Amino acid sequence: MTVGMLYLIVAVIGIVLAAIAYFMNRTNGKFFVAFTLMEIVIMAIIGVINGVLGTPNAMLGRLFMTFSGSYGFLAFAAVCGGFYIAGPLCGYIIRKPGAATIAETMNGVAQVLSGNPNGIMVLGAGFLQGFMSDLGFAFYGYRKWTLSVVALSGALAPILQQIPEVYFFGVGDMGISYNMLALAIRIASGAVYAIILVKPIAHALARAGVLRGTALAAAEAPVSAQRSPA
Amino acid sequence: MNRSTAFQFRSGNSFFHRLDPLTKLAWLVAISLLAFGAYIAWVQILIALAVLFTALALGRISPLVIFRGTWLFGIACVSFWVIQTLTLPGTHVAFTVLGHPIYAESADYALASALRIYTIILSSLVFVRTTDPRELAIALVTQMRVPYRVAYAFFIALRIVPTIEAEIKTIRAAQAVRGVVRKRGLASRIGEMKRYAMPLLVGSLRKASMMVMSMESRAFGAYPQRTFVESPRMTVASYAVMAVMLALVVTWYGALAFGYVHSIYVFSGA
Repeated sequence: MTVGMLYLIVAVIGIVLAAIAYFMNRTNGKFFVAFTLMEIVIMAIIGVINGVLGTPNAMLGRLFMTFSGSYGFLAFAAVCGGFYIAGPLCGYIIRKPGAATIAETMNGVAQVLSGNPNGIMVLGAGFLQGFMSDLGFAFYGYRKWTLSVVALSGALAPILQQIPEVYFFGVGDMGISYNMLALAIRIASGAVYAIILVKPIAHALARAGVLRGTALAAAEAPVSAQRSPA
Repeated sequence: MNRSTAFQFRSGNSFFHRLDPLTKLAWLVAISLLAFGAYIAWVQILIALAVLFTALALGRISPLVIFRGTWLFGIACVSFWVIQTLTLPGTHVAFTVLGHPIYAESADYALASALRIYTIILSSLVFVRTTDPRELAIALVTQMRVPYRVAYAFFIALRIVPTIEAEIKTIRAAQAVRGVVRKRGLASRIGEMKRYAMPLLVGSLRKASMMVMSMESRAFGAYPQRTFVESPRMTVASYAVMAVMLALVVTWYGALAFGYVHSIYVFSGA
């Protein structure tokens, strides 16, 4: 099996996962839920800030890869979860289909505009990682918001996104086991970053009162009301 | 002026300032495609010179602004060039440095890689420096048919980005007043980022929340479509730029596909 075949299989897996998510959700009317302006702005702000902060990280990653030779891509894969955080975070806060995709696409646009060395590729990569992050929530019909679902959303993010990167970084020639290991590390990194960051950040933002009108703020409200003095 | 202020729109009357945002976006995409289409030094030198010419002559961006906006990445690019030249394998020794062979293929590939990164960053600088974010938001709606609520949300986010550095300074000052001492070193800098991230995010979202309230109180989003007093339009120059960029991309990738050129350096020396 060639590396090209490997990624063709990965792409097919991604499409099959998307199809499964679609058929699991097509009857519950959750496919085209309109976003409020505040929700769109939250997605834009989180996506853009993550994108602007991601550009120096991408540059450092490039430098790191150059210094570390063939191990660089693997080592960089370990910290890639930081790039995927906007999707699971917005999905968890807004709890509507497409939130992760829009946030990550805006993340990609912000990276392009702030001079990401990977160029226009990050736009496509952003869309793909957001789309896969959304699938993590779609598998549970956008109804379950446990840590494991958030971790799944982070873990799925790199599945399709690694394909264009492999071409641009030229690591396809490194063999199947190398590429599979890189994908496995990225999946683990996505899950770990999502577990560590998504819930604490989201709940801290909700407590700060800046997520007005979102599903997370609504879910937090009864708890806040109980805690507040009469 | 530091890097972040160089990556900000400044009004002007240059050729690039007058172009509509969609054409500039197409130019940015084409430069990216061309830069990623070849790992050959002479091709990358040509692309880098073309982008530099665009920045200086067509965008009227001063060399000082270009330097301030890209020097940090420039250093990184030089590092890539040196490290890759020294470490990548090859077959044709060009010369030796302290007994270490420098291969022609590796030096060429390393220079192409480094220049490609610099070209991408410089092209982003040209785009950001010459494109008004408000015009970009309007172009997203009128030319790219993006829903206007999404385009405006993106515009709000872009407006907040340049204030991030000022916000960080305020947060730093507030933390210093409370006795948080700044330490040197990479680990402390990472720790600092953790301390700044939440206040920064909260501050940005609070500002955006106020903007949203203000916009909604003025019935923003009440209608499915909206009109604009002034919207960017494509001119003859826009069509000409698009045609040139499209021709360059199609020609280069066509030449690659039919084997007239190689995407990497092929050494044919003695």
